[in-house]
Amino acid sequence: MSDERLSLERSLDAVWNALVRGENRLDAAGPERDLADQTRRLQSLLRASPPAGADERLRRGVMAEIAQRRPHSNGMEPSMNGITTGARPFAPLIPPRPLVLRPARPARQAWWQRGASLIGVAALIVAMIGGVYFSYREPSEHALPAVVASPEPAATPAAWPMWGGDPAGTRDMPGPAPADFPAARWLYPITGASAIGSSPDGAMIADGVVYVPGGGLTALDIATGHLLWNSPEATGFGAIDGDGIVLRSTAARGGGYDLVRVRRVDGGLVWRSELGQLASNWGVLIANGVGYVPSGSDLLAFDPATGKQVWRAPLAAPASRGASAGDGEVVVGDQKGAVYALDPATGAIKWTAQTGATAIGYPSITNGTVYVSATGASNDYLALDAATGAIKWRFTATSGTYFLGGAVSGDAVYVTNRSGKLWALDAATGALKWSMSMDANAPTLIGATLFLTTANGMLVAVDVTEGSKLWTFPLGEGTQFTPVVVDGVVYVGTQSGKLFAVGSDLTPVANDTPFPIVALKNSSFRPSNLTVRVGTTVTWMNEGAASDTVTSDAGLFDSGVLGPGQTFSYTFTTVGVYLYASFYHPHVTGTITVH
Amino acid sequence: MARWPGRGPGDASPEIADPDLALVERARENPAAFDEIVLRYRLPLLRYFHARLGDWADAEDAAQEVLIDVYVQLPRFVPRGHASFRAWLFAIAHHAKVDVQRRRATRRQEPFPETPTWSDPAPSPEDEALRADASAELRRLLASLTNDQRAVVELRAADLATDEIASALGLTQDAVRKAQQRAFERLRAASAVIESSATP
Repeated sequence: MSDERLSLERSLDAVWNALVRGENRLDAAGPERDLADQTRRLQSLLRASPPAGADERLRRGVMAEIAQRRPHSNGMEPSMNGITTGARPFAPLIPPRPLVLRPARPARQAWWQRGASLIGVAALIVAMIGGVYFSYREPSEHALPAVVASPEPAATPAAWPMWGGDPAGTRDMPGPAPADFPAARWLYPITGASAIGSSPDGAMIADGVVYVPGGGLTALDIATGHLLWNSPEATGFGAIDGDGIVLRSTAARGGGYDLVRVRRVDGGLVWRSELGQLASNWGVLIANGVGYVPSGSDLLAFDPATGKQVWRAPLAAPASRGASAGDGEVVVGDQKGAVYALDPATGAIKWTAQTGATAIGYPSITNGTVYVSATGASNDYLALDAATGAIKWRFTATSGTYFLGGAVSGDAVYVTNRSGKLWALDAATGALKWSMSMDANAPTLIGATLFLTTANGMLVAVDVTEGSKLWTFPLGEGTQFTPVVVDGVVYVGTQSGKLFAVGSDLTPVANDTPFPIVALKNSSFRPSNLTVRVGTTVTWMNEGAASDTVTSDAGLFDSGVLGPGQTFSYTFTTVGVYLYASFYHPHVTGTITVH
Repeated sequence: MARWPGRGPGDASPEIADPDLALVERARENPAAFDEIVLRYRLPLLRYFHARLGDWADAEDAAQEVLIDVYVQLPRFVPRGHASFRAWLFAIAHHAKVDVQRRRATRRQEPFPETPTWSDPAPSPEDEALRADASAELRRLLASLTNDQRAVVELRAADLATDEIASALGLTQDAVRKAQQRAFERLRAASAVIESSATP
């Protein structure tokens, strides 16, 4: 440290001591002299004396209040936690009544009358939570056994059948979005050969099961985050078809991958074809019962049940990404900048558009228009006439690099580019409506809300009508995952392979969730009571804006200071009830019951 | 895992026995012994909330709520290397949601809202005016600070040391020192402005 800075610090220390401690050690000499007067002035303000009698009145008030309370018995009052307020934690909820002996009254009423209205309140809360919980679980609990028990296609359509959401690749899906500000409910750490979140992965969801292309393919119960199975056979951008999923093999041969179908019930292999012909970033599309995937330098149409070829159309160059289907055609781009529209039934090419680019992204098709990113000399996003292939408009990024996938609604296209922005473009003219600087991955549109992940590890919700951020949720590490949103929960993965289920406070955390998350925000733990099995690792996530802690009452664990977005995990290895609290808000408490 | 503040390599302050621990132990066993804690902290708490709220009556209400909260939560206080009892007490004070609006509304319903309730032996109108002026000036000065700077000044006014402030606010000691420096520079500037504008 330089002498100058030392001296500055010393004089500041002196000033501060004078200011707040009443030590008048400032010499009336040197440059500090000017400080002295003003310092004394500040000091007199900060050290002002309260009106006479205020301190004594405060003392009497506190001691009188304390005298009315029970003394600390065993040092803990866990049953009252969370129900009472901080200021009057032990105040009775109903005034005590005189005890009247009424022999005829049933014992149960006496119990009730003795004032356990707390129990009544607790029961009501349990009933309400239970109601929310069961209404939430209903679809998956009914539907899951159908998948397990029967090889027949599930009765309900898949909630998120393929990477782009729908076959047209609009990434405009029903959701619904989380009902309120985000709260992570569980995570699952996926380990294995291929991590999620390090390539632009997404997930597929049907019948209460999320299929994540990580560690091969991993199937998790969306209500609890329980691992159902992990299949080393397949991974990549797949599509759900009845009781199976079509995607690519994990193992390469001759530099390419096979097209495979696995069972949804256990991940077992059903068939394998197009050996070594697929690139890793070619997604599988299933539309109207027909599968489409680039293979070699062709576009292949196949029967998803058997893998048998329906037709095969040669392209001038190998495809750049997977295909999309809409407006009565299948559209795919190649690595030399051509966009093709093909007849879904015959594979006949309806039109070819030359964009001048070197790579074409996943097409999105809606309202007679094909939207694609086109990367070459410039970073463009194009709108093509779906009937003719004529270029309707071209939007060139003014910052950042290539465009990622877009989300397309009726009148607007929302598209991101690497190291650039989120752009909202007029769907008809390509005119810029608004933009927002963020290095985000391809967006997902649910109603009027966009969900995006960013390279620096944030899940962001954006209101498209205002072009404003609704909230950001820290994932703790970078990702390229494209959010999948079903039933009020956003599913996102991170580059180390964690899959997060991010709902809202209304989303329950089921008991016995293997990797539950307790949200710490707005001065509360949510959920504040959680039951887990022995060996469960609980993660606390500070989702608020202020620093906080998770501190075991018994001194068993202590997070230290958790800044916003930071997490703390603890593995419970012994049966018991564990109470914990926030160091800064001691009346903010939580309980983990381990059985 | 996140570290507690005040335990970093550059913050190697020696472990000092917390002088309040004996008081805490006694108060846990006997509620009447909490009086000693009240006696020790009533003035720092009143000043702290006065700096924060700019009103002695509000400060008194807030200090009472916090002291009762501290009593209720006393069993939860576990002495740790990183935080003294004093830091814990002021952490609770700092995080207390002080609903002045609500309190003022309640007070207005009381029979003699404008009469000070304290038994000051006949405070002269000049004293009252001076007191009100000083409070207002303090509020103006503190309003020129950021939240962190303000919190540091308020806790400084309550005599907390740097490591205790760090613990109470969840900041590093470095951050507390920096906030303190900047706060001081700003306070001096603001104070100069107020003074010069008061002088014709």
